[in-house]
Amino acid sequence: MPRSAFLGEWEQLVLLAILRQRDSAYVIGLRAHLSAVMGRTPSRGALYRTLDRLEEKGYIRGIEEDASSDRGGHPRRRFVVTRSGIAALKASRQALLHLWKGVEEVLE
Amino acid sequence: MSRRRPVFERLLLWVVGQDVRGRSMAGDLREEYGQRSAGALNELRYALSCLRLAGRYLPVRMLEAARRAASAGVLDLRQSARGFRSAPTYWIGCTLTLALGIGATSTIATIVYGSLLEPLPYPHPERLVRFGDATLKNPVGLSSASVLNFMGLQRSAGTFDVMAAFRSERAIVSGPDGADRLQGAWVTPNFFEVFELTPLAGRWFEPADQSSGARTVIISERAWRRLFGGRRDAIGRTIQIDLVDHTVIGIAGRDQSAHGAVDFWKTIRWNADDMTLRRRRSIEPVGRLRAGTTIEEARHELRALFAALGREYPAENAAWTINVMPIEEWIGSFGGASSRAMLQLIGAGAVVLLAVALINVTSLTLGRAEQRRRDALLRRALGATSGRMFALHLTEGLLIGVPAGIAGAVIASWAVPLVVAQYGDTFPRSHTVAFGASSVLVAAGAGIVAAFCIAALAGLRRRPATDGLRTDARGASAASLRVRLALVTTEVALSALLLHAAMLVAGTIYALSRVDMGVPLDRALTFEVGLPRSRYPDPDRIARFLDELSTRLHALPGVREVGATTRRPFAGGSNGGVSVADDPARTLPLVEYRAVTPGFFPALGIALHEGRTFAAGLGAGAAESSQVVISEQLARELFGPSSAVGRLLRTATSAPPVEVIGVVGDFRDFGPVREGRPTIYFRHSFNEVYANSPFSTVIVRHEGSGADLTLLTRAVLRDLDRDVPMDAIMTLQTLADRSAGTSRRTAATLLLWFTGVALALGSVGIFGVIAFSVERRRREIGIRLAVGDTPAGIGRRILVEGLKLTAIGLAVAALGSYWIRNAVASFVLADLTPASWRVLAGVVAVVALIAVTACLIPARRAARTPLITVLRE
Repeated sequence: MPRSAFLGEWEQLVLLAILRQRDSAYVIGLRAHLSAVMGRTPSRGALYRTLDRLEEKGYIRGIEEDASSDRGGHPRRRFVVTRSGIAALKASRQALLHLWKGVEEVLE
Repeated sequence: MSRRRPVFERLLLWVVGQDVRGRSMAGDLREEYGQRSAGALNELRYALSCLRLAGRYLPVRMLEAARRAASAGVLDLRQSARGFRSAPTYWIGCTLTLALGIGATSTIATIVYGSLLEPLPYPHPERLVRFGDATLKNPVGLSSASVLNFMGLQRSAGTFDVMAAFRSERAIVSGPDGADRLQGAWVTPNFFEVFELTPLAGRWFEPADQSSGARTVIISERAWRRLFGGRRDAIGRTIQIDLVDHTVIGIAGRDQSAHGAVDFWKTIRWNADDMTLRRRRSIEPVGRLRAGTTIEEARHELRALFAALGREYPAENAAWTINVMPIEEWIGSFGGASSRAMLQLIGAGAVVLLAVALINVTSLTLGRAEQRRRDALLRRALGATSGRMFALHLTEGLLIGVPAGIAGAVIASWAVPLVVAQYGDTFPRSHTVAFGASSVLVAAGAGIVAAFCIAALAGLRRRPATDGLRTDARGASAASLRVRLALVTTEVALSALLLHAAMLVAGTIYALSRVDMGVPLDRALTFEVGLPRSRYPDPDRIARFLDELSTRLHALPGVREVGATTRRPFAGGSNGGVSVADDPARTLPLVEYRAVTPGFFPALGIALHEGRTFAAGLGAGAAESSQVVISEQLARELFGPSSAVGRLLRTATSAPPVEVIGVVGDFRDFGPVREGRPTIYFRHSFNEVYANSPFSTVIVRHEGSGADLTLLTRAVLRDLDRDVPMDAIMTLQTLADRSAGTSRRTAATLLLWFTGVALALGSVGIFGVIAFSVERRRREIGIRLAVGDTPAGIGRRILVEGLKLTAIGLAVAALGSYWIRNAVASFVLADLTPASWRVLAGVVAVVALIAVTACLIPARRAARTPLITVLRE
């Protein structure tokens, strides 16, 4: 597996959050979701930059949706995880599980 | 959220971008804050969020922009390089042309900066002063000072931290790696305290060095390299100065010599005359002012102290006062006022040359831009912005300017030492002038400026792209031709101005070379000998050496006469008063004093008019110690038409009167520029005036070409005394030429060089423009041929076009000739130089000839245009 296929912790969290949001993965919702899971609200900048990076890597895709008046006429972007995004998540999960194996006792 | 908040949002969009990413971000913020309750706090939070997000994206966007620009730059570079590969002549022509201009400018800028503008390397140079006696008639002048006066001032002056003095001497210095005649200074032990520098190695002098009588010496970095090959163990080693052993105690860095090229320093020893004769003015004082003291305060104090000395010793000091000048001003006065004028003139010459080069390059660039007009218009039509087009042109400009800058710096690195070696004696601080960072900076700056000029001109026309594509090529190229015509006219004018200046100065030099010096200048060799004092301490030994040297040289094949004198001919400069012994009222205050050997008159070619000259042989010398030979002018001015032979004269230097034994012809002892003065000749090394002069100029008059005379003379000298070096070997003609003013010669030579290059560039410029114009009018020429014009007629028309261009340029130059006359005024002697209008006529002839030659090829090409080809086009 190429090195770049491994995901950082923050990238995994964002990808998983998008998957969990299914068809309504918008930035505002994602931020709220991550905030609930992590116990702290991630900064907007960090979230946007991570989304940019994941999009550049081809793990997610942004879909432009119609602008609405409460958004000042600006469009909304919905994110979906691509196949390679799923593959990267799987690979990361596999690696983590492999590493977790046999060390649970030490950590308990 | 009801109200619009465009400012922060706009800022966010400006930073992040107007694409879907940026706009959705702005939308998210609106949505988020719109859902909350309205209020000032919410507004503030919204603004902060916008700012924070913009701040987060700013570095990202900057990086992206830089990356984009870099990749565009690389693309431009590749494209430009490809363009130049397909037109290598254009690229090489432009680069070389520019390199010449940049090289000349960088060279002259280095010299001007190093000799006039560079700050002195001493700490607090503004506190360093040079002072000395000045006559009441000319209180702003600066003469040497008397030792006793200096000591008096040193004791009482309160405005100075240190007062020191030096006396310049030359001596033969020999070290392990060779011997040389070097410039030295005999200094007071505190001399180096004035300049506050630290030695490169070893130490400065201490009072004990003077009082103990130890023979110690400090050498310059240059002498250290020359005498010790730069070896570290030089301190404590022994060198010989005039054949006497001295211990090296210190090495002074290059900076120490910024006030004058001195290679070694010894402590001064006051002799009996120094300590008794207050009138003897023989030392040069320097000093460092107390912090906060102005030059005026110091001058005021010293003048007051000197006035007291004047009251105490009226006989010696009554006609004198003292002057204090900043050391910078004193250094700047080396080479005289003409030196500064010369540097300004050749500096202006170099700038003109650069301008001509730049004009040529831009003219070539315009021609090329014309060829690629469609390409440029297409780019504009496809959406290339003005900025992008300028970037492309600038890249092209840089591809010419940068290599030209590098080549210019290389030319300067080669030319600066050459100019300094050749003409160093004509400007101040020449020994510290060196190619360095400032030279590179000038070359780089000129290269970059050139690149911008090229870029600006290449994209000169800003018409809408579609218009340009639609219109016929001729409209646009007519505009371009007009610009080029203007440029080339300027070029012709500048070249002509430069030529005018060069010809004026060269004309003066030519006129000076035609002045009758009163003696024949051909077939005579001159050189200087310096006798080491330790071996030739008295007049007797000096006389014997010169007599033996004359006898041996006389025996050489082809040598007709040999003579020696204390000073070089045509250099003037050593004078005193002379009065008739039995009629003291008949006095001449300014008479040149010269000590000569008997062979001097025939060797230099001075005719005897009355009586006799000094008799040959040492035996006669003693008897002639109180006899003199005088020049015709002196005889005439003192005695009128009556005979001078046998009359007695009183001179400034000896108490008993001297007897005139002969009258000889006059010669221009001050060179061609000034009339000679009445002269009195003493017998060399017998008369007390010049009894001990260790330096002599020997004149050898010969037959034939004298090709190997230098070698033979050197062999004779080596055989006689191998420790006596032979210096300043040159023909009498060269000596006379040099006396015409070296700065004048330097200016003329460098200006002629610049002019040559400028004219060559100018002719290329004319050629380029006319060729371009012919190319553009091929169709017109074809039609003319078709309706019956002859090829000769076409050729004539083209020639006239070129000449018109030249005529306008020359007319502009003629207007500028007034300024040129002022610029070269200090080098030109009005009564000797050909009139300005004649020089101008010469300039017109030369430039017109060059212009016609440059037009010939395009004219012939136009005349030979095959009718059928043109019509087919």
